[in-house]
Amino acid sequence: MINIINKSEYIGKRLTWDRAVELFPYKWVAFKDCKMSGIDMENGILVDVIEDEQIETYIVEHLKDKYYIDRTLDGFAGGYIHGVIIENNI
Amino acid sequence: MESLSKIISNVDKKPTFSISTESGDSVTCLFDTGADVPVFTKGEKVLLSLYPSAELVEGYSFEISGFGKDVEFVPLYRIPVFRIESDYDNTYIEFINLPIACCSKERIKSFFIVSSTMFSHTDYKVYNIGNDSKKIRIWYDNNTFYMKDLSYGDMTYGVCAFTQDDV
Repeated sequence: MINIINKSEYIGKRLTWDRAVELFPYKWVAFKDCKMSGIDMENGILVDVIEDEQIETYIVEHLKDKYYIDRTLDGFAGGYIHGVIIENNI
Repeated sequence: MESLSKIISNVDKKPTFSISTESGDSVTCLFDTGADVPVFTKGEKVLLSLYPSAELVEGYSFEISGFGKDVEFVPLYRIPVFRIESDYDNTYIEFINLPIACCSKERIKSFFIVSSTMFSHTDYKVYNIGNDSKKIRIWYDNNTFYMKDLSYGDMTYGVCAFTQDDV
């Protein structure tokens, strides 16, 4: 596994999605100039690798850049999501 | 009945498709048959960047469970018009004043979790094999949906149900 510190070796380079998953598992990645297959990215130029804690800020700051931003591996195992709307202070 | 089709991801193992937001950006939605409420996973600032007209519902919260913790209380937002457009033609369905549980779940890939309850007035099929592979097709009579509280007799549960009627 490549340490996140080495991301600078890959920024600016064209990577396939599979290679990005291999290099940066469970990380958010941002790409530009992407070749897409349906809604999936086949390859693109790596712009950045982002930690979970920074992703919301990163998304807001880079919306206008129209990067392809995705997490290489999902951290959500899925299951039953239940919700109820409640009135506060009751 | 009309229908629309969405391309689903070949990479994700769960049915995931993209939608275009109010801001014109493209984000991913997980179609989750195990969810009974719609969820946004990237926090309030991202939600408002993508849907500037979304409104915080003051005085209310969404009590949700299923993300590995017992129960969480998260902000309740309403999106005035939440649209899912076909990837093949100009057809679409839309949800009026969609209630959204707005969470910060940084580890979840999809920005939205669209609950199966949103599609309770549709038929849908996920195609994984064959010539129509990797798409979800949704059939509907009326392309506009509204949320109402689910109730049984005198008891009201704040769980979302979706109806074709503006009640």
